[in-house]
Amino acid sequence: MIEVKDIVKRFGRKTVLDQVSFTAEKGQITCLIGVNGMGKTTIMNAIMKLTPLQAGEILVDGEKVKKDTFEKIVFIPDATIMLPHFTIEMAMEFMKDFYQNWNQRRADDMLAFFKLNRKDKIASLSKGNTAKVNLLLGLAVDADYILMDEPFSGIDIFSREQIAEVFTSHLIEDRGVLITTHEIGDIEHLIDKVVLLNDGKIQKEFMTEDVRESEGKSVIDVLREVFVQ
Amino acid sequence: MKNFFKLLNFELNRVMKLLIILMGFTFIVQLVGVFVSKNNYLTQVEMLQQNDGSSVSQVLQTIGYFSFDRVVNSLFFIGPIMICVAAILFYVFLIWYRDWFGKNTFVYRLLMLPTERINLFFAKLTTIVLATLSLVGFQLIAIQIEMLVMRWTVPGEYVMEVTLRQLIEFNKILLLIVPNQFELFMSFYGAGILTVVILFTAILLERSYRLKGALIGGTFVVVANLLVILPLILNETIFHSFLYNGEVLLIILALGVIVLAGSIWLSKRLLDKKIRV
Repeated sequence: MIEVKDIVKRFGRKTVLDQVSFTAEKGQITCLIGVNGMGKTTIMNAIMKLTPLQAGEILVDGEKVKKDTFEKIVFIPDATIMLPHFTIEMAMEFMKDFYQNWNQRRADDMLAFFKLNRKDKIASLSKGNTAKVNLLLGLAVDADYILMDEPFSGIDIFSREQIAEVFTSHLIEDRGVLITTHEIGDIEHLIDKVVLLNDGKIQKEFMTEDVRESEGKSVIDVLREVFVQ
Repeated sequence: MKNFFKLLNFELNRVMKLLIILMGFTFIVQLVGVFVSKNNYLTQVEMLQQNDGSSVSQVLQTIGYFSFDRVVNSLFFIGPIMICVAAILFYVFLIWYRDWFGKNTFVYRLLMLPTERINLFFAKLTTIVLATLSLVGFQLIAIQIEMLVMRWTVPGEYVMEVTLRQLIEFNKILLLIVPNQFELFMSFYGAGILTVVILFTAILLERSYRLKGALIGGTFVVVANLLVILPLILNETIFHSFLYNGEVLLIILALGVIVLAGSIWLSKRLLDKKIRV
């Protein structure tokens, strides 16, 4: 389980995250929702120790994030983080070199599923294919937890469909996924848990199934209530 | 340790193209220097022989022998070395900043690797050291080839043979890059490594605290360097050479080790706890 406990993040005088706490469990898809600039990406960065916090702590399976943690938690940001002159094959080799949990068979499966050419240079890929390579490099690590930042942002409808398909496949099964997205419609039916972030605070945290059953509301209905009010 | 070598191999591959360009540039320009120096000399010889009818011995009495020293003292020889030094210094910054400001933000990938982050620091540091040593080593080989070209193109009676050792002894810049004593070699390269470590720490301070970090980093560079040479300054000013040179050097060495250790400790802390993407 990823435990985010009372984290505080300030940029200068601006408090972006104010005592934010939530959890993301293994085997569930947790969606972090908030309007732009609300600190969603900052939370992801903080989990991966890519930005320091002013207060609070983050635990993964009860332990602070250390080097070995990066074998069991991967972050797929919305931008390409591999060297542009690398081919997809070189990028996979790089990952294989450093990650004990790298699963080449899964990488090859995804390469075929996304119809990517391993000889293509990363710099030459379209936005949609870049997103797919990002996903491939993240999901081919046999990690317990996957963080995804805006995986559908700015990509074409067909790529979105393919990526959404990944969420229903064995690639995600049994793993804990923490995702931020604006395109909630693409995966609404797949989300187990929603964490709503507003003004740097957790506005609401709920299980989608519960809300659907007890209140007859969809995730978008709840979002409308919170953000439009 | 295995990850350190993987990262080192990765960083060396990244610097390889630059090294090959620098080596090629140095060799070509220095070779041009050999021909220019040789042509200047032989033009003088020809003028003396044609205008004054001077014999070989008279020519040698007037303008002296042609030795490789003439090439070494020309801008064609020194220029490329200076450019290589500047390129390495530039690369000290580039090796970090390109991971943040390149087309893709590769630093994400590097910082999320399942390895101690200080390995990134040591891999980059070792890359700078090996790149420098490769350039120096190449320069020594290039000199031998350039001397051979000189011997082929200048008539033997005008050539004065000098050894590499003599060349280094009589040229301050060569002496600086290839010190002819082990102690000097260790001191020069030790000071070089310390400087790179201090600069790396300053870069990490900037990358952790941005503008505020740049100011702290700048101050850190000044203070760390001052601290190391403080015994020298104090001995020359306040203590009026109270300490022997050997004693001052020992204190400098001790302070150097302390600054080195402190700088690495601070860098590790910044990479582990404060760095921002």
